[in-house]
Amino acid sequence: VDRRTDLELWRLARTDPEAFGALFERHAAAVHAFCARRTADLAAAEDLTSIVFLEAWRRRDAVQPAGESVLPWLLGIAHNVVRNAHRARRRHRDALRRLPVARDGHEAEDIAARVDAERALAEARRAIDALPRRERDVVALVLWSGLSYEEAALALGVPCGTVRSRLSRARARLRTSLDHPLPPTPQELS
Amino acid sequence: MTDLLPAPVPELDEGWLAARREHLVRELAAPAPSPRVSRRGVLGGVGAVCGAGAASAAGLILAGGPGASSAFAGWRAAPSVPAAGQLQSATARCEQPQPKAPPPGGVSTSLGPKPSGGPPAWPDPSTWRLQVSDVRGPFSMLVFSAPPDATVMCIAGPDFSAISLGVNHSAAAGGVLANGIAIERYATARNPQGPEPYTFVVGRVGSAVSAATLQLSDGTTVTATVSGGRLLAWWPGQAAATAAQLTTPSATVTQALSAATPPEQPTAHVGTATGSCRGVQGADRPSTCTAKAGPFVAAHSGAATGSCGGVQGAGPSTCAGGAEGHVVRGAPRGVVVGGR
Repeated sequence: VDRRTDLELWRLARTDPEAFGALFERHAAAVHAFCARRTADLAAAEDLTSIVFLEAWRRRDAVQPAGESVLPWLLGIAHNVVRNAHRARRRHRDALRRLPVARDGHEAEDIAARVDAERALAEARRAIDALPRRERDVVALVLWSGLSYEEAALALGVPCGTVRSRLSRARARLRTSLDHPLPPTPQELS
Repeated sequence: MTDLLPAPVPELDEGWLAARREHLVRELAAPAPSPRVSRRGVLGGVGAVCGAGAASAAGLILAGGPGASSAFAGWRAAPSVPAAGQLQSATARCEQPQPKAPPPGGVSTSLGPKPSGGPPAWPDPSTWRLQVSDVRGPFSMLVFSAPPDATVMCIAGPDFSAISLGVNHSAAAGGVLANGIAIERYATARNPQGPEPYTFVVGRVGSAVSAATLQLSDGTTVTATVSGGRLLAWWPGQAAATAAQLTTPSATVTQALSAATPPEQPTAHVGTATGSCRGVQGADRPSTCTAKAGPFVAAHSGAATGSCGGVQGAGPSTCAGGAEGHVVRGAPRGVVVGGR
């Protein structure tokens, strides 16, 4: 386990791809989960995860991560990459062509699990599709990815109060349209 | 009906992670291909500075050279300590005599017609007074005041330099809250010869503000230079500044910036593509331009000193001139404290 902090790795990663690789290993699962929940497509989410980190590397000189984790910033990029997936794929098409070949095949159980997972993801996505886009973004970052209000604000480039109010509006909207209320945020739980 | 708990996502297996990490590191270690110059950049012409609030600006000359597409290599998100002689060298480059004629393929860099019809001259560099400097790696951005009422902004880097001139139509922006900032200029500039666009912010800070970090629309942050009551920052690209985190003795406060997108000007002029114009250049009646520059609205009027015209076909009108006019409505109002 790499014990260096995100910020230490980030400083090194500006010139050292291996340090960036360590950040990838640390945050790829969270980025992948975010992409998967937004697309409901596990294979697409895998490619988008790679694109997010390629984009992050491209912008590394323009960034000074705030806080202790670079994850909010990565999810901010993921947010944009998912929204502009076509353009992102085009920008990084050469790198995508060189992606490692997919595994030869999945076990039948594995395939069935993926199908089930994608079905659940699609169902969850449909549930928030009725929300205005900005409220949907906040739900995905705060409730689904576990970011704090501050981190979501950083990811979306909006003030913290905006995140709070969007989430509040989303709750109110969904309360009237769903059988189940939104789950509490990590901050509320703590 | 589903609930909105996060749907479970199958875990990534270690083989996938290792293979993708290896791929990523390999891609990043490979030499980057030369970035393509976007068509938009070529069509953009000489980048320009947009006056905002109390200042109207016009005229930006960028000098790029072959290979300038990597012009921002080495840029830093936080100000850095200048190398020995860096500021002196940048000042010397900025003070070089500016051509009156546009560079080949460029566009007019004049400030707009004087009542006599001739373009105003650049202020004599010997009269400039440095207000604030911002160093980011090999790049130096300098803001000078030039009597009687002009502001000269200059950026110098390894591959290019640019200089712009603004004319203040009214006294310096007042009313800055002690724990707030007021943006005076905020725009995207670009150069057809290679460098990618960059966006800058020039402003004033309240007396209690000791540091400022700008949050950009792409999720990144940029630490501004805060010195002598001035704020200065710039970054590659066109991301908008959405908020500023300000350090004061008592707390860190966040100030929302209402600008959604930095204005971009395809030619040297005052205002942006969202302006509207009344009157016709040369007509007997005064022309009036109302230009919305990002978070600001500035209006200028003056007999035959403005010009109006559409930009790139069917786009909205822009306002040109105004350097000789006066502000009839233009107090900075772009900085909104609180939510959006």
